[in-house]
Amino acid sequence: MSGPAGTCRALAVCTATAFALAAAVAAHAEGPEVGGSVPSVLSLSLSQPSGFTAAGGGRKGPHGRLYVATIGLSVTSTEMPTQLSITDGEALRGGRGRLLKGNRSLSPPLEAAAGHGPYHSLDSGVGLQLRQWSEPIANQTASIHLRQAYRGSADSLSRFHKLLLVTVTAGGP
Amino acid sequence: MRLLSSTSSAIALATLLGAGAIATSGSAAGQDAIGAVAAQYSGGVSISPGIFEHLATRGRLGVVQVSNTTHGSMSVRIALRPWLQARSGEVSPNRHSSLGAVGLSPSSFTLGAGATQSVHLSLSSTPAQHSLYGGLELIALPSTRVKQGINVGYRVVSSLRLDPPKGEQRFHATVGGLVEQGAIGHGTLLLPVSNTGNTIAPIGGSVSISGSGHSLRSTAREKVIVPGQTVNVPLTELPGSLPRGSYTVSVRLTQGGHGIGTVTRTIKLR
Repeated sequence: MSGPAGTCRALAVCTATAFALAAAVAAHAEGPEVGGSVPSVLSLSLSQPSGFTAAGGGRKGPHGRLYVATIGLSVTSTEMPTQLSITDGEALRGGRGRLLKGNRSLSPPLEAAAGHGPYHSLDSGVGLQLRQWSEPIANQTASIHLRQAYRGSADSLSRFHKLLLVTVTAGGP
Repeated sequence: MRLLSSTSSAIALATLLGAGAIATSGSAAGQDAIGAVAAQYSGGVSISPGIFEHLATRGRLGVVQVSNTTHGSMSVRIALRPWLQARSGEVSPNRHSSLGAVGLSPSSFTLGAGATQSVHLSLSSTPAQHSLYGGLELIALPSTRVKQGINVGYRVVSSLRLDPPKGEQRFHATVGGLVEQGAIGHGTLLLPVSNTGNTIAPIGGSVSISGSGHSLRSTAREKVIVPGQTVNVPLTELPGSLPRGSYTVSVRLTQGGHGIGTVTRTIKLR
């Protein structure tokens, strides 16, 4: 093993290493116990979210229709526990947790949920904890669903913007 | 320079295989499926090591590597943040503060597609507590962003542990009053513990409860507590079978194998 940087210079390398080791052990399942170590790494891959689409057949609620979008992600972490959260990356510009267009912000806050979990609003000011893994993980996929109540069309909603920071925290203190 | 444990994380291979298996079976079962969006991954951002650990000695500490395996360049900022710790023990970096004694070079840069950047860490002065713990927060934003709609950025937080030299380690804690969480009489008994030492060695202990002609013993679940922070340490699950009455709860606290004191509290079960 090299210095503190370790040898893992790319996610692909880490993944390949992990699963090459897996294959090696599988081939010797009946043989002697095999051990190994991997470089310490924390890695996050994201997909840009799809545009907002109307949810539930476009049924209207008290704040208008519900629109949803999805962020796909993948996490590799050799340290545990690993926490997944999401936070407003533009909170200092005002309209915390809300979609913006110029100086205007939507009144209902943006909401987020992990997988099939419950939605929580993003206006609390602290990162919204979505999920935790208590074991080392390799290429663990997850999804974050976003939901926005809006009175207008999907096309006009798409003119609003927001920077969201998808966060992975590993190793604890 | 002496690295205590950051160069490699030895993980039992069985554990790693387990992680891989979880990933595989999770996708096969469609659990937490990410549908068509999943196909859009084009690399990511990584930081290595995931835990940077070193003695809290003045001077150069070492290097972390930041990699961008996406197909586009990234604007990267790195900062060291003190931890905020919840009573449950979970930590998050305090974005309103930074650990000024630790220098990062460079702390902001543009990282091209497929590129790796070395970031050097140094400690300008020995901390008063002879230790320093915090989160190394990396924020990476794609250089090309859409002006409308949702943009996502990467925030990757690894752990920085600058431990006290052996001769400077202090194991110490103060405690608060007992808290019962959950159903009355058979909830979890919690003891708020403040780490007033200077290490992150886990704090736990042995517990004995006696009174009303009954007694029971258990082991408190160990918790890692950041120096200066308070966490509720779970002492035991109260069995619903204990009769009403007054009980004496005695806890012998340990930290990193060191006895750090015995606490006695009284509780009344109704």
